[in-house]
Amino acid sequence: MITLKRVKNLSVYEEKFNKSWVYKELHEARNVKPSFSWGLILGIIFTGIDQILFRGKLPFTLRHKHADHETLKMADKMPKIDYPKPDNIITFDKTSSVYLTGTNHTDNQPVHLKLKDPELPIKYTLDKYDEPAQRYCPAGVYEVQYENDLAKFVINSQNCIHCKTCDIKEPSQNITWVTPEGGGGPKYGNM
Amino acid sequence: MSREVMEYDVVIVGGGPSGLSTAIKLKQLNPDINVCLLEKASEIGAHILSGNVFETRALDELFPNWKELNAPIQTKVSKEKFLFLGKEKSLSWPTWLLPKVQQNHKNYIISLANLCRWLAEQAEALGVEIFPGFPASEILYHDDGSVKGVATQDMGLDKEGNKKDSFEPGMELHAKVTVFAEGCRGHLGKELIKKFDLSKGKDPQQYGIGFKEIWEVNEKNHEEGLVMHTAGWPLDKNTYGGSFVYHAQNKQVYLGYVIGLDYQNPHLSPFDEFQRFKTHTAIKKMLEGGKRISYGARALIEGGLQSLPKMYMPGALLIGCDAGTLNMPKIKGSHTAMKSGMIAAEAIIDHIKESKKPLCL
Repeated sequence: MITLKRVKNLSVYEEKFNKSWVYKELHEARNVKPSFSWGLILGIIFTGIDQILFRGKLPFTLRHKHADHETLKMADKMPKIDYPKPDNIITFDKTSSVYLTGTNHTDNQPVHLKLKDPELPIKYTLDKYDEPAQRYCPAGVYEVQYENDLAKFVINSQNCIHCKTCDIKEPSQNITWVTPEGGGGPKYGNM
Repeated sequence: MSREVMEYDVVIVGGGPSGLSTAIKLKQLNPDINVCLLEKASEIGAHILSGNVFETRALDELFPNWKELNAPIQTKVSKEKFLFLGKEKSLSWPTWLLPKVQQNHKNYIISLANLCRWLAEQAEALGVEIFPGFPASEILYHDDGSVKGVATQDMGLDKEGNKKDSFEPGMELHAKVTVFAEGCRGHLGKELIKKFDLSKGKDPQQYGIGFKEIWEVNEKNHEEGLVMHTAGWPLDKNTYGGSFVYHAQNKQVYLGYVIGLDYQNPHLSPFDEFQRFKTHTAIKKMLEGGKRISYGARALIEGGLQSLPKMYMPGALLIGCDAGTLNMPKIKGSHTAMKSGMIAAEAIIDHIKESKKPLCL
């Protein structure tokens, strides 16, 4: 063991980082993503100017204005999208897709997707946003089920593939992803 | 509850490209330092999902002889395409008109999971202790508020949190420096950012959701080394995203889709957008007669420099995508994650040297 007093100030890390090629690279890249908040066409035009003509050296920095959980509009104000049914040749459903991830979590353990307010999905999010967790989750963890016309929010946590999307996108930040028991989660091969 | 305590010089949370690079670099700089790396997956690589077109710059610095060491990096990019998709048609954009950051002719098509497995072998050969299957679930603090280390998850609790017969308490790992390398939206990283107010003065972080499928395609549709990206259909013009199609070895195609999580329509289903994308004529004809062999998804961090939090705090560092070092226009984060991990190692070693100097008053 190396003897040293407890390390208190590690600011040397950022000093080194800011002098490295990573910083330079990220600095030149910084304006591309925010420009796409103006839409695809304007984003492409701006990126052409920024990246090809000025090579990322324009003398200003565009800002990100909103966190991702703030951007959803009300469900009744936005168009429904009619997705085609899977053909099981080229396109598939979530169930058969999740099967391929090999994900598994030991039965009978605490749910690792915590709701700050367990009532919120049905009382608020379902009404305002048609509970988008049913759609943004890529593994079908979240479902709204109906029993005698009563809506119920179901969390199939054993399906979770640890992508963290719910923790990011839930409009009220009501879902917190925590670690499940060791070894749980997908079993990806050469991904 | 008493938990077993283990002492290390450095504890690293997460066995992805950044954490493994920190571990390796620490041992290269000082073989006597003792380093432990925790990974929540059952084995290194099992929770790794990435495109991946790999720029070797950081790896060239870490292992200049990576070719002799048989790193799983073989398929050099041989051809590039960029398509704008309409519903029926597609328009091919000339590669020479793409910004330099989107040109890939020096890069390789790899499996990042396999690269991580190889990095883990190198780290273990250097004496790093790697514990797969042990998620770090809790941050431990000293009385003065600095980070002391982490505790691993208890095993054998039931749904209500009661101890089952199989109960085993987690371990405490104490370190001089704890390095958080959990990847995008790490749950401990999130706690640290809040506790130490690391995003103060920064823009809100931006994320995307990325899907990937591996297909084994018909030989006549396979062109090893081809890298293709698309923008446009099926997304509307206000939703940020696009696809990647990478032709790897053994008739495999890595096919994926990324959608910005700043999308506005709550009816949008990222999964179904990806599935629908595959029905475009330009893509469908490549997949016909092929077989899907893998599927997965993972959030990625896209905010860049404006959203990058302060990456140090008393006793701990935040590296790679746990901080947010991905280069979005380049569509790459592995080389920057690795480099951020290597810099972390250099900073830790420097700091240890400084701390050993006698105090001058």
